[in-house]
Amino acid sequence: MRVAPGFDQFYADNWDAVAGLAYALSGSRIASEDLAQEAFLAAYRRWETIGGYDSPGAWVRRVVANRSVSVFRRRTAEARAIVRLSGGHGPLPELSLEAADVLRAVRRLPRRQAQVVVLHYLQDLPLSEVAVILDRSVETIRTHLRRARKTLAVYLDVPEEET
Amino acid sequence: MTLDQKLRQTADELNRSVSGRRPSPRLHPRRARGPVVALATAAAVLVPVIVISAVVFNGREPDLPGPVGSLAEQPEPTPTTTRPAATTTPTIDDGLSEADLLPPGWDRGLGTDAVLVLAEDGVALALSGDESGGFTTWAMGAQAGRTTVDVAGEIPDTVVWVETTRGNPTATVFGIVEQDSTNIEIQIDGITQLATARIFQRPEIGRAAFIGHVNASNLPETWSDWQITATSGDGVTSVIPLDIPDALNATEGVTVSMLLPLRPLVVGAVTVDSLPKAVSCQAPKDIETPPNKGGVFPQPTQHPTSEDALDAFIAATAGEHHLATSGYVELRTLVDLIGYGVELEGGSGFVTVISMAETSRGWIVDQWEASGC
Repeated sequence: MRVAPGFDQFYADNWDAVAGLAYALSGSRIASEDLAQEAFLAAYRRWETIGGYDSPGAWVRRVVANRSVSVFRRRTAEARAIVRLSGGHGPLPELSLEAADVLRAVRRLPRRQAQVVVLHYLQDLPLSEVAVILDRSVETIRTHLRRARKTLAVYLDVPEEET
Repeated sequence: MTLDQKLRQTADELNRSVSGRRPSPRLHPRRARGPVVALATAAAVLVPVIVISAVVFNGREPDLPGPVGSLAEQPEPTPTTTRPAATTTPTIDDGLSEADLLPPGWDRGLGTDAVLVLAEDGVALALSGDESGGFTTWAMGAQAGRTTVDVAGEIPDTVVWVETTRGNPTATVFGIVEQDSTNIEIQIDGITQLATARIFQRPEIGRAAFIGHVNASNLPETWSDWQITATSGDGVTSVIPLDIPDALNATEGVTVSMLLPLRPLVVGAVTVDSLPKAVSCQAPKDIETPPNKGGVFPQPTQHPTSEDALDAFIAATAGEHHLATSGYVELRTLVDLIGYGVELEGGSGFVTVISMAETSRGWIVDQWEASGC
């Protein structure tokens, strides 16, 4: 397969964010790399098409967002990763207890709310881009975000609004 | 610290943790070249899965592909019937820890009685029980700030948890997509009462939890012997009696959630010559039966995979056509995937047929047909 120009740069530019997205949504340090890899591999295989999209990054993020919350894929990816990691490649480092608590709370949210929170707050993407990634209207995304914030504030026992 | 500060702090830490940790070149997607390498990669993937499966299945290895070392030399496989043996008795391993049981986000103190059931078509959670065909008792582990709950009765492949929302009795903490209202009955001292309760997510098999939130203002100070009656998306009614040994304060809300079995959206594949038609309802001559329903999907959206497109289609038509939310088989010709179907019980046709197409920008659902029954 001929690689369309730009895949290397695309991979380098987006890896960190996509792996972080997988980590935040799957809750598995060791599976997140494989989830990200799967998404990039899928993009690579169709790079001649996907590379021509307005936002190939949105396509990869959508794949990861959908797959990271799938139990079966997570389990399979984790099983693969456990064996692979025995070869020496280490998993992502553990987060602090505070950050882990936040991510755990995020993953308790309904699936779509969790995706919106991670993409907007943890990946720092504007709502318009989140809407493209999740194939929903900006207004829908905003509604998910508003409800997610209320729930997260309860889960984390913190005030919702900025002081 | 405010919510925004916590989120910013987490984002910073998350970004630092993944920064610069791109996989080594051997894992780089560019390494995959051509079908032989792709098959070798598939073999590398299958080895650990089979090893893990063998461990999980307590040595009773399921019928998975043979020696994987030879896969790299094999030609590209021709699509064949790959229907999984999903109806066979699942192998149960009760030696797994709680951490093994929890899907992402469901860190809610599942009890040690829960077991993990692995089948070839995926992962399912089930409850342990004394009787085949039904689960009789199950106890949920207690965690700090949460309520211990004993669940008794016939609970078909379902996990239930209850937790209090202390200090926030009326907050609709799961206030998303209130798609339907389902009665939740609460029995208090033997008298059934209808509480103010709403269903914020209809059950989606294989997806998120089924969540109801009981408003504490309609509940007595002490609860005992109450039950939930809920109807799933497939029309199955489950009655789940709950006994809460700890008296709860009337100012506390209670969230009751039912986790449905994790039946995959797609469970296998069959080879077909062309897209079949959905079977019609059968009835004696003098009884009128509804016609098949279906047509062109008016607003298809493109998705990276055919499964994603199917998923989106089902979500878009949820509540309108009552299509199955899981258990589809891929309909493949010798060359392409052309659709998904839900088989009639006994395998003599399809009650639902969904036509798929791959466009230059991804997969779409273009037409569908389902039995009117």
